[in-house]
Amino acid sequence: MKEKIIDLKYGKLHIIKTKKFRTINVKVVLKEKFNPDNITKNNFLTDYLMMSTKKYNTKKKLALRTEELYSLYLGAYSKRRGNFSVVRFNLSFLDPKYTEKEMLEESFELLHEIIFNPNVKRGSFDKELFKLVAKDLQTEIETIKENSRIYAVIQMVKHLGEGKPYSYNGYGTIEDLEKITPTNIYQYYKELLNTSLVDIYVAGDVNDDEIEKIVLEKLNFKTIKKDKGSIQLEEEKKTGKIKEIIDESSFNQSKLAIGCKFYNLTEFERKYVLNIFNLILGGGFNSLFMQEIREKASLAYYINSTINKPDNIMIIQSGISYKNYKKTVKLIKEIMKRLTKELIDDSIFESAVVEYISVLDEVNDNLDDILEYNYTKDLLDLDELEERRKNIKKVTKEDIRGIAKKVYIDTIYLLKGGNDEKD
Amino acid sequence: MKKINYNNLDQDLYTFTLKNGFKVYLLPFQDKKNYYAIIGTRYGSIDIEFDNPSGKRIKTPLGIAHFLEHKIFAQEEGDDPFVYFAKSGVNANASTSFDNTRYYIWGVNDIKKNISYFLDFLLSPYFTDNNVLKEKGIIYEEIKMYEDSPEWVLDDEMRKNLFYNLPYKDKIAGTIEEVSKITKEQLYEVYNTFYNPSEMFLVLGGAIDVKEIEKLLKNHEMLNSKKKKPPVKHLTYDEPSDVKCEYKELHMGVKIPKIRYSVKINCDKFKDLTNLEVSMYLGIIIFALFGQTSDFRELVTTQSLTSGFFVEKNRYANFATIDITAESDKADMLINEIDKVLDNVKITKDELERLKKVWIASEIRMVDSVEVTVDNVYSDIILYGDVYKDRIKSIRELDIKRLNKFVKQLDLSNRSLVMILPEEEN
Repeated sequence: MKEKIIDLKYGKLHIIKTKKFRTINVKVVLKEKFNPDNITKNNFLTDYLMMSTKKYNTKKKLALRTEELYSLYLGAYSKRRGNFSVVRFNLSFLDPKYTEKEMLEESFELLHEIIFNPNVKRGSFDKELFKLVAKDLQTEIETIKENSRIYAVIQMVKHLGEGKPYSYNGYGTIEDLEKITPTNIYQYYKELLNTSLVDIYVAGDVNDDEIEKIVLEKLNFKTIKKDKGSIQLEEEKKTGKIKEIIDESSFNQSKLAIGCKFYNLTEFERKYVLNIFNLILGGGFNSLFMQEIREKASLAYYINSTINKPDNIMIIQSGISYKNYKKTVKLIKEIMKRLTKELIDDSIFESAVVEYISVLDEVNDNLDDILEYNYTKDLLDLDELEERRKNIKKVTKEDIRGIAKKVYIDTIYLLKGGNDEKD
Repeated sequence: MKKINYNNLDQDLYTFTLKNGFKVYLLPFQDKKNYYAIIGTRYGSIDIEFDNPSGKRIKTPLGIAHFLEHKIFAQEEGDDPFVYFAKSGVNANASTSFDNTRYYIWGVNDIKKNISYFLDFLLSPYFTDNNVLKEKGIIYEEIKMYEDSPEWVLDDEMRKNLFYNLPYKDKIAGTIEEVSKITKEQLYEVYNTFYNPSEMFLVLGGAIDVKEIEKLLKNHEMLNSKKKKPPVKHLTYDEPSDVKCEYKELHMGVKIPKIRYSVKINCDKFKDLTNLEVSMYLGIIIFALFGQTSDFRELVTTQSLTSGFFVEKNRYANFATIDITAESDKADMLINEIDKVLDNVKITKDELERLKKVWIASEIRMVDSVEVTVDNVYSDIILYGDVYKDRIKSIRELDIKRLNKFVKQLDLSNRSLVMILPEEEN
């Protein structure tokens, strides 16, 4: 597998050649500085663009076209990562050698349609379609509350860092949705296309020159490359005592969401130690949380931790009975504290390192993973696979103890459920 | 060992059976580093009543198959399986379904050691009063988690609506009340009945050396020490063709009503068709009637009748179901449209040909992934009794005449509806 990077005037084209797969995957990434006012707009936009195009002006016509192209897959997503908001278009289609030669160009042509030829009439998005998309997005925003796990995290991060990029709910808000009109969202769309930094990834058994030619023709962005600053949020120093919030709900199970912050990390800690630390604490099936809180104490069916490097935060999640709330939190604190004092067992430590490496080993087995890996590597400025494999082995048990001291609990949030009496 | 070409896609499939009846399916992939293995047994949540090896009728609490799936990871000594596998960076997990339970591991390292241990731990149960008690707390939380999910609730309530006698009517994980009754003796009883190699099989794919795996399995001490047993007879139930309950509504903390609309189809009248054929025809029908390019979908989209519309087909013993899940604040209108479509099933030759193209493309695509291919082989064995190696050929051969004959025979009149509505204001 070889990656070739071609500089384009609007960004970079990454061509990853591999003969191992029967599909060709494409990812178009538009990066812009994060602005909370744009969350709902970006969500609206990706939904709208996937509904229809100028040429395929109903959802049905667009769907028919994807079926004609041998069940081509298209998707658009928007997400915040650190200081950036990222809009992504994903395309996946069968390698033309299994279908027809023209399918390469035709598939890119449809991606072109989606991105550059939206369903626009007289300087505004189609009004009927606009209403449909708005209604669906409204439903999506309103129904977040139905998923207690996601809802608990959304509530928790509000307290974790008011005004910080991570404190905003990524689904958007009804207030922002109400401000969107068919005209202003079309203006916003044009702006986004003209100002974003663009990266294009193409992976599969492809010919470099052919891809470069097609991309220049079909994905002709007008942006001029410019620096958008760093993805990384500034670190927050530990202040005061732990915030604790309990909200009532009508769910059966209580959902725990704990927000932690890390600070003062060295580059090596951020790039490597943190991953191992998280695998040990709550990232894997075999984590301390799973062993002690699930297996030994029978307090939960799931408990995990996830790290978010650009935001400098870690989130712990679990579903528990309210009567076990204090006990669970106490155990979590004890486990985290123990890591700052004692060195971790060899076997747990080594397992985490092996797991990290085997995830790297598996990247090349799946085309989606290859693209995701390359995209994440560029976005977060990570090292190359080989380097990562080497460097991770330099992490020591002392490093784990060291980093444990730089992670602290900031906010404990509980979405309280009822129904404890049943057991 | 038998070698088969899987789906005519430069992918080999090897199969063999050990003397004790343990079946093995191997899919060696080129250019992959990872491997993925599933060991399955034909025992699931519906087998709450059964005849044990001595012929005695045993009745067990609901949810015991799922409980056993959790508890099989308990070890008398040494590392627990998760810890053991983790040393090679390998992950393990398991899931219980209605008629089967599967255990799976995936990773890149030490394949022989891990496959060997995988069998060892599944074949050496260790249940104690204490470890059974401990598991209950975990499972209660799991059950409560499902009870908070509208999707799970719709699914559970619908099966209760559909079936009079078939044990599919009950929840896979059981209820807290039933689970609390489970004892270690009962676990050993079901274990000894259903967890013997004659009932079990392995599907393994990825970076594997077929010869080495064959040797390992043929020499595996614990696996080969278990003798062949006559097949377990699963109980059969008389089940009327109509639905037990046509409508049920309940209230949860939802903002927008959720609906599940299901059709119960007695497949006995399709005796001249294989289960796979029935499944394929139903697949075409739901695609044509409700798929992304259907008139129905166009209509409900442009009228904003639903968000989050999803349709699938399922198989429960000799019954098939068409199951629609949707979210809608105009549920009456949506249901009315679904009714209309089901009352007048029509499929054109164009639709059939388009679907065939889509299906074939997805079949080719799937073989790019070890996990997906292994999962497909596993599902084939559970659903159809063996691997379906010529799926692409069968799809190509589908024709409109036979499909229309099937449609004519198809009775879609047994329908049921479950609605979850927002909590009523006090």
